Amino acid sequence: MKLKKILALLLALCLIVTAAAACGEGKKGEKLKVATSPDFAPMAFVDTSKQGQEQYVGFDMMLARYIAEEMGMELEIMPMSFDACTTAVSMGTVDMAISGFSWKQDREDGFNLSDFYYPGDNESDQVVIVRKEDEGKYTSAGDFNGVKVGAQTSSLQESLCQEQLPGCEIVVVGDLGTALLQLKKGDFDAMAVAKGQADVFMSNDPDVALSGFQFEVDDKYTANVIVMKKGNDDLTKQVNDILKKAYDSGVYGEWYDEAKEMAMSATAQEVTIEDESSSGEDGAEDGSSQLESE
Amino acid sequence: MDLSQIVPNIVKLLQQYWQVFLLEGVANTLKLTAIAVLFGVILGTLVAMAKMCRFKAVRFMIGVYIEVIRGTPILLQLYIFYFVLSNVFSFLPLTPFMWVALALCINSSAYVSEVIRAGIQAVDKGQTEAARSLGLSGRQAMTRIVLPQAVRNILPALGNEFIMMLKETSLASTFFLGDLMTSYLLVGGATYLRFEALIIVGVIYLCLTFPLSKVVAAFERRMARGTAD
Repeated sequence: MKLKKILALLLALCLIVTAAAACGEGKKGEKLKVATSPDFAPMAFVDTSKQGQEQYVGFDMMLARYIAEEMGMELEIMPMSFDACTTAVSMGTVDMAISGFSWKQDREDGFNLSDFYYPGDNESDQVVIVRKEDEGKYTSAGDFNGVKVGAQTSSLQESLCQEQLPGCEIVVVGDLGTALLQLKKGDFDAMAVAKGQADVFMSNDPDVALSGFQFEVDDKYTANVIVMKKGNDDLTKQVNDILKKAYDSGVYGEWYDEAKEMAMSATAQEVTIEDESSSGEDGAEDGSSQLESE
Repeated sequence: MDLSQIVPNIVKLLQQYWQVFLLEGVANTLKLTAIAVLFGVILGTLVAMAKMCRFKAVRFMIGVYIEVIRGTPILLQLYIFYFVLSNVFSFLPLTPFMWVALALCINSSAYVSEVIRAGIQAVDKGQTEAARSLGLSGRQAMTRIVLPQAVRNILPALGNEFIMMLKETSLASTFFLGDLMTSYLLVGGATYLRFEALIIVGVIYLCLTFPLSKVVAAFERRMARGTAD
């Protein structure tokens, strides 16, 4: 009987200790957890020459570091797919998601959104890209009548196409990289993207060019927001204050230029390497001979 | 689409990012697969034993476990583990990598348990009956007569499970856990040379699975040799 009592006591003690430990763990939240989808240069991508948290670079990551620093917390970036980012916020796995989110009504309904922040011309300029040979073919909205235009599903670009290119036939695509392949393959003849993306595309791929047409963009759409859990008003206010401070100090333009520089140098280096190893770029023969020489 | 750029682009990517694909991608994919299959086999064996035990309630519970795991997409299970379970059991000091590895183990265990159960039940009942009639105990009949024969059915199927798992770890890329598919996302996302990155990753996956499937096939032949029937 006595033994049983002692055992029970011990068990209870164990429980209390683990519970206390669990509580301690929960309160230790000195870390600011931020979800991002790091496959989206120049906003968030990975510098593969670096390790650990350092490897996440781009405009959004600079912003995340700034926010964490202002809040006096240690930043922990949690990479996940774009869809998973919002799930992580609503589940409370992360404190916020910074991943080039633009403002949308359903996002406003489901989450606390921060004030706008402005990643340079990434969002404020919305353009249409085409294959190189079609450069200059479509310059006004009327030129797009009956033309197939690719746009990412439920994106700002899709709604811009609906509003400003009423004559075009919208082809909905999933991710931008695949869409770029489809454009080159001829599935559609033009593609609506943010200027920032277009610049990165063109720096890597000589086959695409700007069409010459540019959307007129409402101020509401020109910026990005940070996504936080619905009802987390304290954090939202804190973040908004920090965003205002960042805006007032004028660091956005600097960050954006730096991020874009990094994104372009991700391939610029390669181009120089290739220029050394082979002079011509056109023709599959060149490519294969280069392979043999490797 | 201009195909002539693909080969030079692939060479470019390999020159700059070969470490990302080979050192990181392949290493993490193999690590995840090994963990998932190893613990999957251990857990799966226990599950299979429980599935064949004499208590109806236990059999029922295990049946539910297997049906739930096998009847839902593995991506969904990853989400549940990564978001829900890691929240509920937040006192466990597990990293995101471990949560996903755990989800893969659980998933693997359900499939492995069915492989093992089927392997054991495929051994002719006459073998057990003969062993018992010769005076072996139930346990002896199982460990000395039935299991050695069952292994012949089970091992090749486990090899296939390994290959399946190797491909399924690509789902870990949802959380950028460094597997091969993550390498594709990272390199493709930074350079927008997605198609080229896809081809590289595809070839690496093939290089991993093809020899494995050959090994499994050879194993199957070896196991088939010396069957009485």
